[in-house]
Amino acid sequence: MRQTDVVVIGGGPAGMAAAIESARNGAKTIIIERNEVLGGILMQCIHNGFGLAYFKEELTGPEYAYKFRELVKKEKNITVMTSTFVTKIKGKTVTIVNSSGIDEIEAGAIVLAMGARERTAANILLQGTRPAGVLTAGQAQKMTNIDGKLPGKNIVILGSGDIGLIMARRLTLEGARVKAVLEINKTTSGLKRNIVQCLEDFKIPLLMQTTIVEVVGENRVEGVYISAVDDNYNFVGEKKFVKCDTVILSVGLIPETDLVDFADINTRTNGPVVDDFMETSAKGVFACGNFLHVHDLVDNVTLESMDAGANAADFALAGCKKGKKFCVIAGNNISYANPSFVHSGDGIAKIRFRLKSNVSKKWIRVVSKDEVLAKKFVMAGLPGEMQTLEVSREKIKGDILLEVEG
Amino acid sequence: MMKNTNNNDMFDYVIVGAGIVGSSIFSALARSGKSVCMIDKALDVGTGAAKANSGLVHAGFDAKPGTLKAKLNVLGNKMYPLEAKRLGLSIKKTGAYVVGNDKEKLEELLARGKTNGVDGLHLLSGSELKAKLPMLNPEIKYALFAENAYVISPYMFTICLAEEGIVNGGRVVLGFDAKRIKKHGDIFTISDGFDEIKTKYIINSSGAGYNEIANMIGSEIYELEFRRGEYFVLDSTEKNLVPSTVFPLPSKAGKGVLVTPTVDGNILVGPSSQLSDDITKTTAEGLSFVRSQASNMIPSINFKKTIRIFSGIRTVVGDDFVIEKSREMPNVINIAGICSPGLSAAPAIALYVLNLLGLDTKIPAAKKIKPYVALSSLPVSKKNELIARNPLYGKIVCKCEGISEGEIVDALSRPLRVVSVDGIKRRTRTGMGRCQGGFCLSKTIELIAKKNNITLFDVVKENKGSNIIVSGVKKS
Amino acid sequence: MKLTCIMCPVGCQLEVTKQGNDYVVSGNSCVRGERYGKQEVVSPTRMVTTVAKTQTGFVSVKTSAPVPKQRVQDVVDEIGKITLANPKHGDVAIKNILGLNVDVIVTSGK
Repeated sequence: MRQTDVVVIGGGPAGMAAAIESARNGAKTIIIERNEVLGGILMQCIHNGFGLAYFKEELTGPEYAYKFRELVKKEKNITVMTSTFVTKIKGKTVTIVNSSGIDEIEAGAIVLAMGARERTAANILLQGTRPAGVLTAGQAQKMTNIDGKLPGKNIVILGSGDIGLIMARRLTLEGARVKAVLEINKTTSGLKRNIVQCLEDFKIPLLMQTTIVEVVGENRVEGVYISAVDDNYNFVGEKKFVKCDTVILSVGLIPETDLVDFADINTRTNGPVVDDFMETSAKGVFACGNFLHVHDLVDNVTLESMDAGANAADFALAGCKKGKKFCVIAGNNISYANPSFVHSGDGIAKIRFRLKSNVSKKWIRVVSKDEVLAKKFVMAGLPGEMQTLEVSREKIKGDILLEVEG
Repeated sequence: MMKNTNNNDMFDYVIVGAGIVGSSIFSALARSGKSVCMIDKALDVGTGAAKANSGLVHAGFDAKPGTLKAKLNVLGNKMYPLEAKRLGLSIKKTGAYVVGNDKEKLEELLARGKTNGVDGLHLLSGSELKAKLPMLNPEIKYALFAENAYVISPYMFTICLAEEGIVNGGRVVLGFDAKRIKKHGDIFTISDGFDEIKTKYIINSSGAGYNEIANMIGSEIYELEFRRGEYFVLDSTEKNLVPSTVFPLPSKAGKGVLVTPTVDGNILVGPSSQLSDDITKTTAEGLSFVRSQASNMIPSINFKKTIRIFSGIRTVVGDDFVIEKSREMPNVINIAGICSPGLSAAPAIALYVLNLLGLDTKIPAAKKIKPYVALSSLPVSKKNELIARNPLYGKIVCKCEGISEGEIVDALSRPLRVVSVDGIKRRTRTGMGRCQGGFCLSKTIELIAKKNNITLFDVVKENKGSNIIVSGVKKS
Repeated sequence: MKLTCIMCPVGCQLEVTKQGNDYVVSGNSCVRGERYGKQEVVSPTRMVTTVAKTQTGFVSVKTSAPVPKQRVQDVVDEIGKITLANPKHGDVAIKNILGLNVDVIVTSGK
């Protein structure tokens, strides 16, 4: 049995940022990471585009991880445990297993930063046979970028998520042929820049409102039947056969909260319910990063997780001082808002949210009792982008409503 | 890749088809000290119906009295606890409910069960039923409860039996796709075009492929009907959904869509029952049928927690199992149409076949296999002891199921060679969880390649041609 | 000419128009966007990220600056020819690749 102020579970970008900020606030902090190195999924994201917001320079995933690993090393208060797996969280005691055996860590506070997993073929009820050659974009990414192996030669990508778009380019440059990217919705879920530089640059067709009807092939994928769909996802028109040996799925991420039975789960985000201190309904247990809700940019993960780490340190060392608790309500054209609760008192509450649909030249505001507490102007907002609004806690005197004006 | 025969391989008995039935017979013959070989075209045992069924050991009230199905189900059911114990395999006595509003039909089933010799049947209703199955649709008024129903892993049962046969002197030849069977004098020669295996007796237990083999042998052909059954597997987070197997009243198409806990802590919902060819695929119609039927019984099923969908093929011949000596070709046993309750009956089928072969059905005590033990099921002190001895037990590869590298290496070091990712998945549950191998696939491939001394490109998902990695990057 | 800026995840919709010998960019929200807009109509460039062989496996690499868009595949193929011995984060794997005045940098992150 070990003891510490703060245990951070997960050593990806969220966990590292949380641990650094926890340590900087004076808390003895342990990071637990199941891989051999800190960095998490960043290590397989070898493309560039990370760090512009936080480091003001464009980095690849492993470089972003490297910079944070260097920052972690500088903190004397941080102990890193790699190749270590958490098997149980009970109260504020964490059971771990690694090659030295099983141990327990008793902490003053816990930060959950275990990230997300990809939605699988089963999650989207992909129909047909179950041959080799159906994999998620992240699996394909790991295979290509870490193992140096190609998952296939003729590829159909289902879903326009960013990892799928990035992999379309990556596999094309390694000599595979990406025959099409299919998106069941009317809008793409990946960033516009990735549509341009990953698909358009390589003349890879992007078929909107199109999906896979059935996977064909007994041992290895031999092709897919695809079909256009209407706005209610019903198949329309003739289905078409596309010959391919691989189907890559890029159909979204789910926070890895399945085993969290000690805290309330937000059914909209699949992450835990948190307040403006990033504290879950379990006292002293904080959450951040893709474990809390799926982010668009790692830079946002970093900033959010730093708050969680700082608050966890406060809790462990002195206890968070919170005022009165109020609800956050997602109003007009707001898909969801995190946190679910805010408090009155000192400091700033950051509301992170996503839009339901495209917004052009509109104000987004936080209202409470007919008073506008904060607002910002959005030139062009997309549902995929995470937005932030900061509200001064001293203004909070009741439930707050977040909405797009007009 | 898989050749391990010699031209002079000669056996008294060859079993064609390494499913549940084939493996049961294989183990029984090997334990009886007979010279026996089991062949299959697949690269692992139990890759047909054995890996894609409900995993239930039925009590035996459903089958028509006097049929082989009734007789062998009831006998098999009674044998299961000891079979599982001998193999060191998990089995759970969960019991089963048949639910419905047609009380007469349920009483008929109860009576039929009694005729078949099934004990522990009870008709429930009202508050008694409500207390036992509070999640049941309140509009359903009656249930027949069968105490003696079990859940087991059908593929682990098959694997353990095959291994047991091997440790008792039997031989398993996988990846052997029989193309020709010739008879000279009393000896059959089975050839796959490369190698030959000779035998005095053939037991054709090749499931959906029965007729192909029968054609080669010159034994009886049956009219096979294939019924596709599609299933949902729900996350272990849902494990408390039902305490027991819950069936609707049976119909002509089968036992209907059931909801059951699995022995490994998931929930299984299915099967549909569509007449089909023998392609195991899932369809929109099949899945939506399963979903609506199951929700009628258990409205609280959360299908959003689906972690896997699959389909299996059951081969049906008329109304009963076919297990008989060939009249066309001496020294051949025909086994066909082993649909439900095939798993339940399997241990009894093995004895029935021994009897047909004129052998003693009292099998002597024999060598045991080392049981498969999931590390996660052990107490902390035992785990620490194992990790101290081999640190790989402390290195978790599959995060969803908490499977260590040590357990995967162990599964690769057993009597039966494993060359497929699905083979490792069945033995260790690596990749069986909610991320479906999203994080552990690469590592699993690497471990399989290393242990078998093959390249990463040779590692398959299941059968020949199901290779996962097609080439290296950088044209390497 | 209408373009989507790829300089950062915002993805501004740019409009590039020719004015005399120069180009004028609108729709951008930062100076990087203006630079990108002009560059893209004159001679488009792209960063290249890929992996390089090492004696024990593979390591991720990137170009130190964008390369002409039509040379991206050539750069990837050229990187495919090398095998690095014991590469370290930040090492120059290839100096001045294909004479493009751009280096290939190891981004292993370890």
